Amino acid sequence: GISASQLVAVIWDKSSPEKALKDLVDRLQRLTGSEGQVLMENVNQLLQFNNNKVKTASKLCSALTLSGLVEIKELQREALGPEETQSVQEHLGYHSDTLISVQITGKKPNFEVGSSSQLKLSVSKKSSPSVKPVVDPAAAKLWTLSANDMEDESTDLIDSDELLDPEDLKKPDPASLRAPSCGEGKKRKACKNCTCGLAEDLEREKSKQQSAQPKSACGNCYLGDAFRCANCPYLGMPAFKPGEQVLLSTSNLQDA
Amino acid sequence: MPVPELLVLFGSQTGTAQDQAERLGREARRRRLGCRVQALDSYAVANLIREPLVIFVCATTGQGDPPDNMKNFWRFIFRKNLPSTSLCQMDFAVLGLGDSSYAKFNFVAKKLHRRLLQLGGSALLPPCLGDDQHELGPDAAIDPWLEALWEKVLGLYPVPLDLPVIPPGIPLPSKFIFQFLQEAPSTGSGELSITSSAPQGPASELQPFLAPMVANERVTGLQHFQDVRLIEFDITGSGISFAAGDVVLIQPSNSAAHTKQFCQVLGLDPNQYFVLQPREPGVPCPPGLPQPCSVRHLVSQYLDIASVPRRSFFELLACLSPHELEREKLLEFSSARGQEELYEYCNRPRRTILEVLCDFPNTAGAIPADYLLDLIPQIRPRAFSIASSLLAHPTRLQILVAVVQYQTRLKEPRRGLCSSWLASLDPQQGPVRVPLWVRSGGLVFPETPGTPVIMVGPGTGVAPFRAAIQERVAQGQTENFLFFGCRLRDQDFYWQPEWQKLEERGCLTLVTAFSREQEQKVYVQHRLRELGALVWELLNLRGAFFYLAGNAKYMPTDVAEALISVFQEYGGLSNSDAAAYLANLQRTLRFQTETWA
Repeated sequence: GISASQLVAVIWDKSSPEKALKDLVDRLQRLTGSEGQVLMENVNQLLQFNNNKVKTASKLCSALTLSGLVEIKELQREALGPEETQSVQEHLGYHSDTLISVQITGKKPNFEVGSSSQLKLSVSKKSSPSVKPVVDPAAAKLWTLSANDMEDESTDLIDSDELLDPEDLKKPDPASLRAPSCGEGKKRKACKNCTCGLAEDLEREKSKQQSAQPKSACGNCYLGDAFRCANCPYLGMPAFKPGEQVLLSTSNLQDA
Repeated sequence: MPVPELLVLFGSQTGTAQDQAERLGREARRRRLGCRVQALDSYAVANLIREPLVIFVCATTGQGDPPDNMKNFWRFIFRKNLPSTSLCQMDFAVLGLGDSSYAKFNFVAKKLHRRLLQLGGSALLPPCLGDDQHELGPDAAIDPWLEALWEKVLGLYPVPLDLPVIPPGIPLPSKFIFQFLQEAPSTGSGELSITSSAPQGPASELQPFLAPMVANERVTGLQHFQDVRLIEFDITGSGISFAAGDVVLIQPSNSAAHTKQFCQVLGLDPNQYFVLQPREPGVPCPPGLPQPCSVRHLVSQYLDIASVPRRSFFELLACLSPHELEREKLLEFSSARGQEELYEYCNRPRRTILEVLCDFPNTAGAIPADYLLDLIPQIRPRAFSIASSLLAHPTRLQILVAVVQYQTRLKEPRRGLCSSWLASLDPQQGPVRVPLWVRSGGLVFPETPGTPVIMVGPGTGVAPFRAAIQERVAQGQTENFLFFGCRLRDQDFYWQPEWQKLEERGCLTLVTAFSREQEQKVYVQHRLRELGALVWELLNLRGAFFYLAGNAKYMPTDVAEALISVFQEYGGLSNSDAAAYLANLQRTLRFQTETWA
């Protein structure tokens, strides 16, 4: 029962005679009308995008997206009743207890062969959280059932590598990995209340004069490395009490 | 109006992703948002379809793999039968942590982001790709991304004006409250939580087996630059079983000296006991701590004071500091513009938490005990390849441990916590027990008899192969080919007498490469090329399995390159065919590696 505004996918291969195919498509197009679409899909192409037959609605949506349709939306799905299941078995020789009928809309984007358009797989511009669709109860049930059986090793997994594209394999530009202020080497900083002369030296350097030899007796050396001058002789040693005699060749901490 | 709730789910291998997830939790709370932070495998994934706002914080580890605490989630989320509208209620964002020197940079975050979109989720932002290769580490990418994230989130969930943001510098309430006891408890839980003599189920992280150490021998020559130990444990009565290729996890402790120093700097009495109470209902107490617990136990067995602190440590310490000069510096180290300086002070020289606290004595002395678990992470176990087979040494477990010690610009040398601790234990001085448990390793050996095995294990990498060879010889499998490299035959040629005996029995073909016995360096990859004809015959005609193990950054690449050139020269394959041949060996598990940097 094909009716107006539906999307019909015609899966064909080389064995279909061209004229019969054309006639079928014409008829379908008349039936689906201007709102609907008839999509021709070569079965070999489809199989390339999917490792096995399209068996789930989500796989069909993916397949349609990957084949170039846009604005894919699942409208409705319902399980086939016993009579319909029986009919499928008789006519197609396919038996399953979990057949569903799915209604999906999609649009062929109107561009020429060879042009490209970015698929809408990235950030959505929603600004308000309240316009979220309700979770379809059937979907919720499937999710919950699956989640309650975490140990199940027999369910098929999609190949996660297929989610990636060549862009993902690109290494970042090495220039982007450097710290921003890494121009002329590490900063030489002076202590807050510098008494060793480094602060003055830096001032003099700034006004382009020769720097004096820094003295080694600094008022703040007893504080830890976090507070020491860049050329403090005590760098690398722990903090000590002011006035405490600390030999520069310090003894190691004894471990048990 | 209900408080908007954010869910942060993380997958973390070394604790970095967990730290970032907890940072997100704190930033959320500062902005008056409700927030739950959980490991992915601890979260009941059935509830995910009802969550409106989820941030995933995921590291990529190993060969582009998810961390251990999200492996179950990873197997679930890619199930084909999950409906594409499942997550239609969800706004999400993915924060990834990785290293761009690997080809599979942040693969977990990238794949997860796409998959969540496939399942109907809406992305707030493109995924954040934190990178260890950046000079300033992952924060370089994370800081701006988080700013953008909060803008988006607060746009969706504006917080009422009467609840202003808690500014930085003001501490959030601690997760736990320490209730100190006046007297030591009469039952006396002691230093180690030994529950009962009969183990409840197999040894695990939550209940390690306290294995008596039987031997701890240095196996490198005294002239050699490195101290390497062969350590043996008695696992009688543990219920522990393992096969070659499996790995043992060891939970180390801090040294007595460091424990004492930490207590002194913070003004803690190591003999005092306390009971922990969570501040919020429903928050579990840390499973690794006995209740009641002594301060000594907490500091020596639980708090990782020998680790290098992260930025979050400085953030919290700044909030707790009463001293103007120290506080100012700590705030600088927590700020975005202070990260370069923090890197120079802390990360590059590998300065430890204990050393930092000694540099900020006024702040350290003022830290309330309640904040200890917020401030300092738990000591993580270390993994070692098991170096013995139960078939050769029943009731025993052996490991080969290189004691890590190196110099940075700090005067005190840097030491590996676990290797130094193990090296300090002497079973001849008295009974020594070490908490450990076992897990499957990355190497699996062929079961089909008559399959030759080629093993390349320079240095300590030879450890899992010693187990494999013992096991295979006990099972009558004699086609074992070992390529072993070290510096000098009289300094670090591990198990030389054992190999010699096996060669005499016809159970082993040993090919050695002593890198420093001649002018030019000779490594295992050179030997592979020299014996290319044999290697090709074994792999291509005899269905051999090939293994690589060791501690080196470049060795795996060098060995792979050597194999490729062997395939070209002896197999007549083109460059791309040779690469495909190797890839195929990998896919069929006939080329396996276990390497650590």
